[in-house]
Amino acid sequence: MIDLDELLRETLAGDVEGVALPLDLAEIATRRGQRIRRRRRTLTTAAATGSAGAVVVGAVAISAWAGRPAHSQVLLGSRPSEPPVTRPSQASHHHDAGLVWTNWPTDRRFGTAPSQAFLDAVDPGQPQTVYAEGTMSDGTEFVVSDPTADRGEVPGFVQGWNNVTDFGESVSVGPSMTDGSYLAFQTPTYDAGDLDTATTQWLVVVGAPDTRTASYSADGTSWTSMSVQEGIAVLKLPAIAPVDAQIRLTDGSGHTVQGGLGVTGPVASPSADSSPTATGPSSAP
Amino acid sequence: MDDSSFREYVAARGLALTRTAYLLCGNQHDAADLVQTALSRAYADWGRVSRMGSPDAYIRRIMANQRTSWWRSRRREHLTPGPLLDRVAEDRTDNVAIADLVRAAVRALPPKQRAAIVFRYFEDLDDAAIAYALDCSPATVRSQISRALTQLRQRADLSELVGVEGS
Repeated sequence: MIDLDELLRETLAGDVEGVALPLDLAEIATRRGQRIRRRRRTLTTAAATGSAGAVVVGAVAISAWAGRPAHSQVLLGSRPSEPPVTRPSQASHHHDAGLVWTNWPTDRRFGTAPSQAFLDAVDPGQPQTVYAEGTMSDGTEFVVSDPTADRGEVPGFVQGWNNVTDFGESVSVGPSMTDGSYLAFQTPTYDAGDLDTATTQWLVVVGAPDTRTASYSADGTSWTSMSVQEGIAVLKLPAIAPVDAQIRLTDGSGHTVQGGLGVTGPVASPSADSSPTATGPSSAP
Repeated sequence: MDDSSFREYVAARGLALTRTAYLLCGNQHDAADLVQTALSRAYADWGRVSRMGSPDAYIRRIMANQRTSWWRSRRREHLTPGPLLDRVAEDRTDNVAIADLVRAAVRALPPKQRAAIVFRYFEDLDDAAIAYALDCSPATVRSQISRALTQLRQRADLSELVGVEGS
């Protein structure tokens, strides 16, 4: 009889003898890593029209126009960069054309789309697939949408499943997400956008489908609720989130996870927001 | 960000990580993609990752998770036995054939079991380190390895060589 342990050691060691270092590994990893960092830090603001035409992850903020509430849109889709829309005058669109995903679970889709007027104001003439929408504590409306599904493209954006935070940078990853993929409910995924001139950051966390509440803390002490729909949490920040920022998500059963903008882990027990300024979810599903 | 420490790390550890990735994936192409993906994420958080003391652990964890994700999305590809199994079944007498058998058997394991086997028998990691990589408890690691070994022993083409547990 052969010792299986020994057999495994020898076989595995022998198996990798011909494995070579991928060409330009450091260079490629650095480039891709820089893309991830940019995507995290990517935001368009109402004042960012000067950067229109840049190709970055889609996050659109539209300033208030006279007599109307501020409207904002966070795009989950991907398509070529386009010039800014003309109305409202300060709007701009930025898209990452390099992102490709194959699926978006239908159960993440929020059924009630905002008004066509809202969508037209954001992106005239473009069909929108809306995944979540709501109103921020400051009255700003937001919509998380994919404007490109009708073109055969699919969301290429933030999703966390099976403990993996994936920003869509790998076209070989097909997130055929199901509820089962979310069993662990551990790693919230986030994305945000900015341009170099940004003064505002949109933080989008795609939690497990049953994520009911989400909170953000810049310092781990004071917490602010995020608007949550269909497990997608959104928060507009007045500045880029600090590296020590924390996210806390709670699902329908009260299970809470908390962590930084990278790796997260479960917390001992569900805890309520401590910030007196926290606002509740705009409309939980 | 200073890229130099990241590049130094890749220069020092890139091949070892690629080898682990190869054992997790089973082919060089996916291994390259896997290690690139893991390293790019590590780069994105390099300030924090490099302070961890063990970037390897963080990267192993990304690789294991990512590999499982790929496996789920490409599961159909992995349900069909490749020609390797047919070939080795005809000749199990020499060391090469035995290695082929073991290799095929390990590749047929579910991703977490396979990762646990790779981390234990290739990287010589202890339960705690494997638990971190697989995001589970050390007890689960032991259970995954135990199940994997049982599965390997029970394979018809391996049982004669290594014996069935308990027999």
